[in-house]
Amino acid sequence: MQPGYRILDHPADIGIESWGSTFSEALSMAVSGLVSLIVDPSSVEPTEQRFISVSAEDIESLVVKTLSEVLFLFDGAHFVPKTLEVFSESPNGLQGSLSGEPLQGDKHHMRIDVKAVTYHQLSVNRRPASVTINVYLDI
Amino acid sequence: MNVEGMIFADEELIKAIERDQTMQQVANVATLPGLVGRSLAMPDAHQGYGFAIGGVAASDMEQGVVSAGGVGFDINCGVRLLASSLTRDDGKNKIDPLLDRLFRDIPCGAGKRGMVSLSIDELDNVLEQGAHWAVRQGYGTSRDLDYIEETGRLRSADPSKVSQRAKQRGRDQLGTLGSGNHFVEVQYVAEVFDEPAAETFGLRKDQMVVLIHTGSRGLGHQVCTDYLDTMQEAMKRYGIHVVDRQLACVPIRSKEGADYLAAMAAAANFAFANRQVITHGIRSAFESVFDGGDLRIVYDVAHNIAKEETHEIDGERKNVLVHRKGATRAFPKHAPGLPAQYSEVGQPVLIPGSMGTSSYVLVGTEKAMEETFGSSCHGAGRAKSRHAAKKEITAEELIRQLNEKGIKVRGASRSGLTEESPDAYKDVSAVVEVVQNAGIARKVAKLIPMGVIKG
Repeated sequence: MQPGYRILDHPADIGIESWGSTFSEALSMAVSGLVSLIVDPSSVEPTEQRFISVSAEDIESLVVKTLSEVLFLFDGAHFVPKTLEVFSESPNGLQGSLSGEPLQGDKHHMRIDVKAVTYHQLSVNRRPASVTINVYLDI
Repeated sequence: MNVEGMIFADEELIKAIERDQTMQQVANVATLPGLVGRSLAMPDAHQGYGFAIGGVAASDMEQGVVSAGGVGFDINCGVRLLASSLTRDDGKNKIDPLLDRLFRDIPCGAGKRGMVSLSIDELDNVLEQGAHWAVRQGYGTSRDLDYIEETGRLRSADPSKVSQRAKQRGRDQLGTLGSGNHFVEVQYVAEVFDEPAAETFGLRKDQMVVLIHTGSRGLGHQVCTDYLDTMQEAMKRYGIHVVDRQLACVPIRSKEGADYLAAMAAAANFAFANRQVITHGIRSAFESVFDGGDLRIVYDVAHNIAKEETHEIDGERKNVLVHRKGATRAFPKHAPGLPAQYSEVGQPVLIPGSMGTSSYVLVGTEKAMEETFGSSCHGAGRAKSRHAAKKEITAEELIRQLNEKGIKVRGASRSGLTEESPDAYKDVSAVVEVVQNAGIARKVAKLIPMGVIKG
């Protein structure tokens, strides 16, 4: 299955549906979807890495926490992630790295400020050959 | 459901409310433990996360719960109105240089750093003292503080309950607007409905005013994110089950409940300080463009917050925690905590409209105390999704249409602008009429925009 994402409509805010053959692929696509809302991804070069280590009580929470890392790096460390590479994952945790570059006002074409990742209508659908994630964001 | 649900609307607004999950969310909130009175939705209500936006719910201070989702991610998102000594005519020829200056000095949009960058130690002072910190730094005067809900400082704040991550997200965002529906709008008073109240608030026809709509930025968002997690875990220990994870809650009288409320208050203080620093930027802009303008705070209200208040429920006075998720406090005359000058009139209730439409100043009523825990609506409320709004109009067309109406726009992002197109919202006047007819606030004045800056 070719991994990918699409932006979902929501009465007030915005969601992301992402998919891949594995959970890691689908999650990486959700990260790409989130990034595409915040910044024009074509203006970001993946020149630096930031390692992330996330622990969570279940797989849904793992999605929320991983995407929240993107928001934290952006606001708190002025780093614009572009892609996620997952090194290892279990339902309760994940290690990986976010590639991107430090925020540069004139280089990066900013779009909208995403406030948070929510548990609203959050779902992780695992099928034998594919995984689909649905997640909504507070704008 | 443990309590009843109740939605304020007219025939048109209820149709919009029925189109999304608002009703279900009002019902979901009604299942929370220890709720008193009713689970309420204001006429601007629309589907949110866990709570509907426009939701009000009160829980018993001793037996009830606090829900981080019931306050929302943008803790103390709120509105502040500044009244100038200038008229619409004074402003109309200088609106362009004014907006340019505001757009230059008030960072808006994603990824913008604020006018002040703080060390973590100094940030702790902001979290503890709110607008008082800002005034002490020279961003405003002590008079300003009298005209802010809670004087711009929740004393229950404890910066040590705010995570380092939240502090890192917020430390250089003080004095920034953010994006989404946040704005600074230059307006004039188009109509006065209640002369004595308007006079008390210092508002008169054709006066130029400025409305600020923003909140606690990344700091508040991270506080909510952190405590949703804490609450989900702790809920199991307290044997609480919720129908939607976003409604995660813990007993008010638990360690986690107390920690959240102390962190929420700290984030609320950050938002009060944020609006105070932005006010300073607006005053400087008026100073340079108009050589003055004497911008005085009419009021500053929070519309995403939980507050401990005393309300009469079934004939008994009770201490309750009122969650206002997209709802404005609307206290009547003689209520505790009002500015002395407003005590014979009531609290100003500030209702921002969507971009390019009108905004309203209302005043709180006794009826609101009886029916809605002293709460009223908070805006127009979205009617269309961002995607639908974007499909219908281009940024160029929107700017042209607004220009035609005499409204100038400066926006950091073109897609951000179209997502906030006025057509994406319900009719704010219809929302305000419902509030007025239900008696949960009374109209004082209508404000029409002259220019707006948006993230």
